[in-house]
Amino acid sequence: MGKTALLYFVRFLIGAGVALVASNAIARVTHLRWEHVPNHSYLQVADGFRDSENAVDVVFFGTSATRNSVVPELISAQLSGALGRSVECWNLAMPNATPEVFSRLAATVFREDRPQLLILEAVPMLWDANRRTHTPTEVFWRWFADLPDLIRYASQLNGRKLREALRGLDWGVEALWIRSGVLMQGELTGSHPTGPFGGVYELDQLGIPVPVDQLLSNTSHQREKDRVSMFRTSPQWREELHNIAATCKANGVTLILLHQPMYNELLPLFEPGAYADYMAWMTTAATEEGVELIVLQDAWPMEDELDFRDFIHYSPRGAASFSARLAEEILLPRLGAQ
Amino acid sequence: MLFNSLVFLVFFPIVFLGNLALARTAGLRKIFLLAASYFFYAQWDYRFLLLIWLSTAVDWFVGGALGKTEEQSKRRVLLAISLIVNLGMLATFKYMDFFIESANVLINSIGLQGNIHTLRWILPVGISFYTFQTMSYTLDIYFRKLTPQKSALDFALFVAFFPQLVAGPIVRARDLLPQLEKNPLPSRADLSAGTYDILSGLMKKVLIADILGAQLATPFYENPEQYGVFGATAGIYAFAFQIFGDFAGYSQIAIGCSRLLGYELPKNFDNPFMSRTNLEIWRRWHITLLTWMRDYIYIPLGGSRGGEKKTYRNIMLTNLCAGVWHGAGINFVIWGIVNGITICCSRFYQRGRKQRGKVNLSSDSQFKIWSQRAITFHIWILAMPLFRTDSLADVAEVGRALMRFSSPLGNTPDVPLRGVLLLLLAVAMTSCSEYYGNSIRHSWSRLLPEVQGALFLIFIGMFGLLSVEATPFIYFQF
Repeated sequence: MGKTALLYFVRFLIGAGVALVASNAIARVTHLRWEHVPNHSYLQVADGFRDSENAVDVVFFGTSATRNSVVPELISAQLSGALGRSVECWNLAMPNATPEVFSRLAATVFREDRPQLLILEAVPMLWDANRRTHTPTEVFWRWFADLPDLIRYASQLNGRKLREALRGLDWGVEALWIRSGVLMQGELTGSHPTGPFGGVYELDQLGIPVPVDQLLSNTSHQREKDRVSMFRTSPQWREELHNIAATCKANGVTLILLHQPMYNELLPLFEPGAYADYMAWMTTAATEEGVELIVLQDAWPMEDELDFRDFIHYSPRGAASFSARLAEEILLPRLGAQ
Repeated sequence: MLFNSLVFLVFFPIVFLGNLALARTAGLRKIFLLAASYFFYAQWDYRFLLLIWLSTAVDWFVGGALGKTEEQSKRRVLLAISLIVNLGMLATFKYMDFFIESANVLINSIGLQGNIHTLRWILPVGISFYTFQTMSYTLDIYFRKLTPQKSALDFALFVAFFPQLVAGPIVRARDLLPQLEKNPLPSRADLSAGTYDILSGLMKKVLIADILGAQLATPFYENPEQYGVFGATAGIYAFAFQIFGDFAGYSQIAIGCSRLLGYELPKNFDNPFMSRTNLEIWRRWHITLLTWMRDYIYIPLGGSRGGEKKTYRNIMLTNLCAGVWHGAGINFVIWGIVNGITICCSRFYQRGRKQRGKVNLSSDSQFKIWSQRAITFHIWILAMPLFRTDSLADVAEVGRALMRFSSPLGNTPDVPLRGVLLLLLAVAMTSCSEYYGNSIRHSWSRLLPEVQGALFLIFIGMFGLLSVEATPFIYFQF
């Protein structure tokens, strides 16, 4: 046995172990959590929301499902017309977001009575516990693993981006880290939020037909099954829902949980009963928090393939019709009553 | 199993500890390393182990038989068996489709219908490396530079030793077999050097090659028609650094792993971008392949012994073989020819210097030295599109992008600025690792093992050097 080599190996491992423990401790103390990093992008929209001095009426939180379905400018215009005053709507949904992100975002950017309504996505994608369950060690690894992306991001900085990055310093270290992912994601994938109020589609894009190969007709069931995980809820997410509800209550914001329609062939892809279990969990949670839960899956069936890009995300046509109906039937009565 | 994968992070420490545990029993230690090597290779496709075993068995028996006979005709037959089996494997798995496609083109060109079906077989990873390695053993015995290996186990391990099995360095039997016989253990210096090489190699791969590949080179080579002259230039430069980071990184990790196990592999890169002539660059880039080509093709062809014309012919033939070794395609043939021409030009230039009495290159001014380095580097990278693309039509598209002065930004206005920044970063990192590599290595070796371990982990974690979805090394395809 090579004693020199073995001793070296043991000492090497001790050093690596100490570094691992120390790094994990730093990650814990500073809340440098991986969960935030892939939820990237689009925080510049949150910046816009936070920095805007206007009164804000409606804000949407959610995943890419909400991001693709809600056209904030369309809703603002429709509600402004109906209510005879200026109404401002924001779509702060982010792809791959988790409830924890919105819990933190709400705590950071909400002010008293601003917004009046928070519409929080209730489709299973946001609340699926399978999506983000990382141990601290994984968090550590993933956190560090982002550095190459940061180098890539740094290479794309120009004056404007740098200012945006620095502006986030007042969010603290954690938010700065989120922000680097945010800006980077937008830059690297080209999937910037298209409007100042968030969302995917701008008003002038709604009439533009989407190429057929981007519509649902070319989306396979298997692909969707692979993409969408098996949605199981978790105590952690329940706690985050409670945090969001508490933040809303503290700021006088009305929280509504909204389950927008998914394509009707999506649900059979899951385990039998899984969707029913999820809905039972969500209903109980809403009741316990004293929050209104609106489920449109069956109430507003959307069955035309042309309304979808895939089983979850709407096409511009679907987003336009859904947003208009949402403004008319859901938001207007509630804002009018307030 | 890739060096930059998390699986390897588990695999290698097990092999390292097993290697130490069996240090006193040389036979068991080698069996363990051989089993680990086969396991490592089987992670790609266990079926192709059969090819390694075939190559190992044939050269083992041929080598032994060559050692027992002095009769030249028999020796030739034995050598032919080895060459036919090894080159036959290469021809079948690597070049057959190229031959078939070329035959179809030829048949069509004379007015007949050429529709022979291509095989579309998977290229067994590392086949070009281990076949050359086993052939070098037989050739060395044939040329009486080596005596046949007595231990079949040592020979099998020489062929399959996992650090260098799939992408080199191409190790000669005379370099590794004596080490296997001695059963060496890693010294403290080996351990420090090994961990440094692994870390440095991973950084070259992940921070230079993967970033430049993903950000500049791959997008450009996949859609050159979208690019103007600026973006195309950035893409071509990026690929030069990508291929360097990828292959030099791989070689360095292989050397590092091997040192941790107690064995020394030959250097494969030696600061190639500092070369002042195209002849020199090929003495510093993929050194083990080029020395293989020199020893087994160039010198047997006559080398520089038959006068100038024959020397140039031999250079051209050797480089043609080096080009074809890299891949089956007309691109690689032309790439080999271009490299041959540049090397001939270098030689011609050096002879001119010699005739003018300017033998000492180091007496040149710094301006001249750096000018020569820049010219050499640019000649080298101008040929790289042949290496990177799949067809001459793609090369032409790259050329059109380079000539697109009317819309220099093309459809990629963000690429030039990003390209400049990333390339500066790559140049800085490459210079740092290559130019100051020895002093960094020296500093690393003076650190306590605990500090090395901590830094190793932090660097790996910080830069994501190991990942579940690791990017494969480019040279695996050869």
